[in-house]
Amino acid sequence: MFDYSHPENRSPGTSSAEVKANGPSGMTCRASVATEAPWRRPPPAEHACRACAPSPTGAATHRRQRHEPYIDRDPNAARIALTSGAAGPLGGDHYRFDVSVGDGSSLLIREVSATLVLPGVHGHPSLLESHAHVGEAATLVWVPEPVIAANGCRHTHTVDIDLAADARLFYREELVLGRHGEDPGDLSSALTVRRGGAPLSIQRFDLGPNSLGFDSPAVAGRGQGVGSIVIVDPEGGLPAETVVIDPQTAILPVDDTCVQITAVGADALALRKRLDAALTHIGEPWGREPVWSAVPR
Amino acid sequence: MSTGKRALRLGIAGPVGTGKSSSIANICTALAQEFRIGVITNDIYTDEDARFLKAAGVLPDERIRAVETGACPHTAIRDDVSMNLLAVEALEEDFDPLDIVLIESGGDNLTATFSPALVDAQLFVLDVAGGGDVARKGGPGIGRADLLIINKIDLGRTSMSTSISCSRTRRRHARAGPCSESPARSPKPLTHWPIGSARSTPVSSKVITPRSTPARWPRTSTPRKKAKAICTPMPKVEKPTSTELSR
Amino acid sequence: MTRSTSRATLLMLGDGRLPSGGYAHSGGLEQAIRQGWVTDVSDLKDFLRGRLHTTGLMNAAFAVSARRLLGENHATAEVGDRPADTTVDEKLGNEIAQSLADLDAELCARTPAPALRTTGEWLGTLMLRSMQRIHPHPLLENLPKGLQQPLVYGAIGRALGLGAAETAAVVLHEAVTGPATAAVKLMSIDPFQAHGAILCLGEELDVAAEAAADYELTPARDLPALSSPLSDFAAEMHVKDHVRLFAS
Repeated sequence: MFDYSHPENRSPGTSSAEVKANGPSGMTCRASVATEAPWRRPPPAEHACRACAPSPTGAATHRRQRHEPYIDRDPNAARIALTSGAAGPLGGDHYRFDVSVGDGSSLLIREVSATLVLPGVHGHPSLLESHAHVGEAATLVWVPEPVIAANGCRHTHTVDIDLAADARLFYREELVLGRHGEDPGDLSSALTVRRGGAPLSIQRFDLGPNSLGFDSPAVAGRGQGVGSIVIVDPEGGLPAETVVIDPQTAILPVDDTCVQITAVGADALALRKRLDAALTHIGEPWGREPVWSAVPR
Repeated sequence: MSTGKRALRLGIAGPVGTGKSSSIANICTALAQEFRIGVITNDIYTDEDARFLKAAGVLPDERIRAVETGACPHTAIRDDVSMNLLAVEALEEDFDPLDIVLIESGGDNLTATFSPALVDAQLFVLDVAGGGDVARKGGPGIGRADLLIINKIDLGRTSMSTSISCSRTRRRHARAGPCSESPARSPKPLTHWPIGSARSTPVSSKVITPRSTPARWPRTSTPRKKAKAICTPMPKVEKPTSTELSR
Repeated sequence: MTRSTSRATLLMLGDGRLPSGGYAHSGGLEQAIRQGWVTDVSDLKDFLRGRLHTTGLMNAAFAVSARRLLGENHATAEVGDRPADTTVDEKLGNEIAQSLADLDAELCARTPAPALRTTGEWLGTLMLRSMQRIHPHPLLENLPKGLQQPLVYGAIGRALGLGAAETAAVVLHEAVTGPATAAVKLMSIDPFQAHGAILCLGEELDVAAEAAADYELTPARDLPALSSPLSDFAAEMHVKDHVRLFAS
């Protein structure tokens, strides 16, 4: 009667192939993006003062205005934006997204809109799996828009990020239970960040009517939005002590070079504001409004 | 632990406000020159007693540690001593060698006793302001104390607790050990107990040894003689104000 | 080796009076009450259920995994024969000590709140210290220090001859009964209601124990991470709160 199975590793013997079984309406998509540094590593940090690095390409002024933390220190950074059609994934869909950030290169991934997960005609489970490898001295800034679990969906969202020892990362995740006023579907979202193979930050949120206790005052309470940000910066400069921004937002240090921000909000807007408030607290390079923040602070 | 020897561990229990922390402050003040002392406090609410002792400046701050007792101070000294035991061992290890570790119970009722797994001897502190029923009813705390301290006897004149005195208490509770009345704003009887009164009994001779012969204690427990009681009017210790504590 | 006394062992381990320091912790309940997230018995039940299916299940899976690591072929009789001056690693076997360290790191990575990592380590130390006295066993003597509590439970399960599901059941039971008994001291509810709340989770506890036991063969990196953000916040707020009855 209790379904503990998780698509990834619910019980021994459950291979990921079973998870990927698509419904009749299912669609399998695969996308890959890779970057590489054309000649050599970007200038060392002491020369590239955060957030205001003069760019050898002469585009510094423009970029400074745009303020893209971590990214604007690399004049050769690549920027992509993901978009989906009207909605998706739908029930039965299986998306896979591979990212490879080559040694010394920088990549910014944004999304043009939120991901609305719908049950589809048959209400089959859907899966979106992302795998990213970030090479030595490489930078990945990945700021997806919210994943919204519409009523009836059964979605699994996994993001695996493997970092090289001196890679830099900013990753944001926002999970929203249902559209406005809608009962939520089921959403299981797992984020795994490893550095040099060692575990750094691993979390999984199982939300929705079939996840027992998800609305417990020990888990997410009455919040419809749960989100987190993981920042890894080998240069440090991140809070060394826990900062409780408000009773439902905290900056939790993992180690000297990694923090996790977690927040719970009544809705997507409240969640985003809380995450942004935590970023503001961290200060430079996050103190100002990054260009990709869809919600004004 | 590696040497198999350790400091003398003294437990101090008693109801709230009877002067446990002040007694410890006095003991530390009087004996700190002669012995290496550490203190573990058990508080109902967080680390207030530890902060009081630190504010009193009787010992270096790092030798005073607080253990949180989950709303159940007597459990931490009797039923489940694991937290206190670890705290004592850590203190002994960090400041090796220590001669005496004082373990202050959170203020509790008359049944508070220390587990023999935790302490070598225990003091129980009463005050005359608590009223006559306290001594009349007695309890394991008084009965098993190695030293009973009746505190604030200078308040006796104005209080109703005429029944609290060493002699009456001991008469009533035949099993009670030594008793000290601490009046007269002089901690002498109290500080003399560990040394003086201990010398007169097998317990006391073990209790404290001067630093010249390092007080390292074998782990064996020996049967104790019944305790003594001291009735001492305690010297006034300036308690820091709440604002000082909150610093 | 399964001991015929495992039932009695189980009851002993599950007894709230087991002197292992757990009684001073409310599992985040005290702060949840202070924040107004838990106000009545119904909230308490929800709180316990959430804890059971997140932290409880995850910890149980790690206990099962640790128990598996400290396998039967190893670490029991033969360990005790090693010379006393060898290091922990040598006594336990370098490979196993490393695997335990890796398992601990995996659990810490799944525990974002530093306060909870500290509490987990402290409770593990207390539990190990107590069990070393209660049941002297070479495996417990040689266990590395500073492991998170679920891993210590795994070692205890192995040392006492408990099965995987039984070990998991102990961890889950502790995850639920700790806050439930604390609730009696923290809220204006009667103790019968608090224990009633535990009892209504009975079946879920059993199913979760079996589910955790299924992770026995799962590699450490694939063990479940089950986040409970409000518990993380509560833990961090609690350590900064100077007026508190419970340590966590």
